[in-house]
Amino acid sequence: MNIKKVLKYATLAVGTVAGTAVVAEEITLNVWADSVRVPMFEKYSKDGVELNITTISAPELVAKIQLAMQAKTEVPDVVFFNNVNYTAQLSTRRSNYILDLSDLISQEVEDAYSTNANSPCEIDGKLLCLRNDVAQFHIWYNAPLMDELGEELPTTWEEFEALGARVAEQGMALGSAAQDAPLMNFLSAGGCQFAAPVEGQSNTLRIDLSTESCTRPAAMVDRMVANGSLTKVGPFDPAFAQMYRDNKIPLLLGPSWFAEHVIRPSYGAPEGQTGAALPPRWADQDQPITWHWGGGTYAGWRKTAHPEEVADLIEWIATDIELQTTAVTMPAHEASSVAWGAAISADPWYANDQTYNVMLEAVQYSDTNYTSLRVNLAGAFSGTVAKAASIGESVLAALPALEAELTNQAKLNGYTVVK
Amino acid sequence: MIDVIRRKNLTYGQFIIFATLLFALCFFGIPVVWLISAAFRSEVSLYSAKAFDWPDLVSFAESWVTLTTYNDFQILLWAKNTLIYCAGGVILSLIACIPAGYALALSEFPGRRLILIATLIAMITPSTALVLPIFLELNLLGLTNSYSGMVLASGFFPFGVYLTYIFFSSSLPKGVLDSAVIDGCSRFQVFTRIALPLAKPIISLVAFFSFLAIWANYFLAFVLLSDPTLYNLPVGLTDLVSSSGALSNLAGNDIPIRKPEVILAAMLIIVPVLIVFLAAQRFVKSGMLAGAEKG
Amino acid sequence: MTSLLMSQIDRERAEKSARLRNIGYSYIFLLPYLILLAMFGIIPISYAFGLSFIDTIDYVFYGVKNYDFVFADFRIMRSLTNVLTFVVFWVTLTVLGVVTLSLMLDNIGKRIAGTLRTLYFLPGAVSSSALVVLWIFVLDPAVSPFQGIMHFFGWETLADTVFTIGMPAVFMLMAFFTGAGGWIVVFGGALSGISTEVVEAARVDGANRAQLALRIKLPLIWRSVILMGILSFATGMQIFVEPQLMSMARGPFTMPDWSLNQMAYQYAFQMGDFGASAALSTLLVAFSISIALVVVFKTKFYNIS
Repeated sequence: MNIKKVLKYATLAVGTVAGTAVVAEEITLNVWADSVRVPMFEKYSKDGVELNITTISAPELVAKIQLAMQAKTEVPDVVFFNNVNYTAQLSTRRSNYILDLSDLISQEVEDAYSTNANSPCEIDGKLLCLRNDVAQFHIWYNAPLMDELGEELPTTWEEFEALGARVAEQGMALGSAAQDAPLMNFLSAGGCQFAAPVEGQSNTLRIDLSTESCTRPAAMVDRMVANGSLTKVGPFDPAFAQMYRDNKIPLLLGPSWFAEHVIRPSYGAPEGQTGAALPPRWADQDQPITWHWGGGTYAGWRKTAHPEEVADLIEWIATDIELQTTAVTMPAHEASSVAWGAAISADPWYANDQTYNVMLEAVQYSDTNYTSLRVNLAGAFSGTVAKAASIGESVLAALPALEAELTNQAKLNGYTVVK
Repeated sequence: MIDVIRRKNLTYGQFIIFATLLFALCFFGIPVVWLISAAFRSEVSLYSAKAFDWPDLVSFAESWVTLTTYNDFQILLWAKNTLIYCAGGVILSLIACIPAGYALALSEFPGRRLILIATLIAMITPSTALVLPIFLELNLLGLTNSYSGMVLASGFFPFGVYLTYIFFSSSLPKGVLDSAVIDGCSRFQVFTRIALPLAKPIISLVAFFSFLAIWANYFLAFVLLSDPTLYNLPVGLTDLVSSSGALSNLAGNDIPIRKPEVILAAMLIIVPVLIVFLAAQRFVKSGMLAGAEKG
Repeated sequence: MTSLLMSQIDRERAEKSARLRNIGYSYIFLLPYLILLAMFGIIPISYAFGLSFIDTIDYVFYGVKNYDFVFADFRIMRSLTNVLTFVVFWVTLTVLGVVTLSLMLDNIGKRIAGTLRTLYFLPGAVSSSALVVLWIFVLDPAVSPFQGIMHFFGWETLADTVFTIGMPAVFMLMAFFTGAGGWIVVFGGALSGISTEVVEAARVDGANRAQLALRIKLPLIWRSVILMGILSFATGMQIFVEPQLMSMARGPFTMPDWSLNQMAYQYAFQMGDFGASAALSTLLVAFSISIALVVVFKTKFYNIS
């Protein structure tokens, strides 16, 4: 890397000596991002580097990258992935897009990330991307409502379930069971290994949903759906939003972006209502385990003509404190995150000034199994357990179907599956 | 309709007939009427108890403004693209279909039967089956993501050849052309001076059907075009929906496209075809008959 | 004698060159179409066929490994089942529905029948993405114009409706909604073509309305009904747009591998394996062409002489 840099500077120097021609030559990097990240890229300014930014809607991103690589026309040098799995999916023999950043980005940058925050970018000991934002689950609660009910915030899942049973009698619920990611979170919190990379064997996944760590949370979900303390409609359903507005949701487990992007704009929660609390743990666990719902990453193209510039752009956009302070979601880069959190702490919309501190603490309980996989977890959960919950069938009974689906998918995508 | 039933002294059989037809009318009609009425409602009104509500011009205007101002009036660009694909594709399909159907109907030459069979096979094979192979080929030729690739692929319309073939075999006696040839007309003159003027109805018919096929083409455009500035309306609509999450009740973005805007966008795709349908009813009927019944 | 012979040869020569010219002209007329037929019929099919035996990552001959891969994919049987269920549902509904409505329309006043046919036909304007958008609304009890019926069944959400009736039925409704009207128009024409004498004769013989419809009219249009069934079957097997676009409703409605054509798309555009995609496409095209060949050669629906 250093040799390359030296060479680059040498060329520049020669150019300067020889005249202006070489210096004036601009590098253009093609950048593909969603509409939220495009304005962030637009703030990049570096002499000699021009960005050609295209807005690509998230569901079409992978298909378009495949097409571009096939057609060999304008492959993006830098992309924003809204799904952490794309890193793994696009670094296979079949679709080999991803640039290995291990030698291009220094260890200090990686170390500056919150605990486990960059794990979806580390595959086989290689650094394949940088995480933009974290999306860990924790409790979001309606503070005035909890006071009115005279209830304490649950710290364990046992308390969570008991609270649910009490509030369900008043037609209240503690969130939804009919959505893929919240269900992953319930299972993950129990320590369930529904797609856990086996240490040291990058192509081996442990998929075992028959253990108690899976059946215990699944049975809890079933009981809570049965008594109404988890809803059968998803959190984005208008009926759920209505419940929230009617003060029927004292608390729920939601990702870090849930307050700013759902509770505030869609549920329309008023000032001073919303607070954050740590995710619950099971009474016999030492600490909570929490899943993530999203969190984007930035990656580069392995055949880019300008790997140095690509790495520089990725490092800047993922970790520039000034830029990330204005980001719409919680930065994964810790220093950026702290700077970003100042606005949350000062915002009177939240019930208290501890919200950001709780969010930051929750990150360290991130499930280490939240990595980049060539397995469509969302699809498998949606088609089995989430579907079951949405029509009032048992999640516990749907676990074998989920295990079969995940196992099949993992094998299809070249993983060895162990129990 | 009730009146009609009463006047004719309703029998049990008649009642079943009218009830079934009325049921079918509801099935086919209500969704269309609902869609049109829904374009005049706000998101809140859509979720109010009633399925139908009085049109509200203010909501319509609001959705219209949002839709047309979103992303620099991108939907206008998609409409323009759709028109380019339609115009180019229709013209190309006419250039290809009319002379081909004419030659197949009125002359004997080696290979004629083979070409006819190939045409029928291509016509019966659903176009979706060929989309991926066509993509693989155009990709090789570097014609993906371009107006020309879309227009070329849209211009291939075997059904049009078959319609023209049927038309000329049944409505132009060979003798007319032979005598014209004897009168000293060249082959091309016979085609342009005698056959084409007679073929006006079939030209409109082929144009109509190929317009419909191209206007609504989703799969081909979806696969061939990855540049948003080249999208046609059907692909643009899904892009609008999937990037805004408008149909999934998903918030979490600042895109102002909500359900009323999506309904309005869908209307933009449907209404032109509805108008063409109503204006060209006769055509459609005779053409469909020819396609399904002749032979 | 010599001159006579000469003129004979001349005439033959003239005829031969006329015939050749004739062939030449015919092919000039056919040229644009033949180019398109080659470009968008023959070449893509052959290309996909060839590609299906190649490893499209390193571009080496791969034997039937792409086919093996496709058959080994656990999702293939599932999507085949999905598609077959849908096709059976849809063809049955189309045959029963279109025939019933057509025969009934033939039994009422001409003016009303004509108006109704037009109205049944109008949903044909709602196609591809607009069709799916419309039905996502129509199936959602919160906004649907049919919400009364849905609430009667106790369905409150889109998931209730969709998963209770099942995806094949959902796509069946969509396809019937947009496609049945066209066939009803076709059969309207066919039925009006039945000579009034036949019908009158049967009526004199004492046939009632139902007997008339089932014993006289139905056999006369039966061939067309079969053609409709075959064409619907061929089209239905290729279903792509409807399941693909259900993802607009996200969550459990995202099903990128519901149908076979979606799988072929997935291989190319998600997995990046164009060889596997070509293998599955080749199978699908071969299936469609087989049906077409049967229609062309084993039935007499189309005139090729």
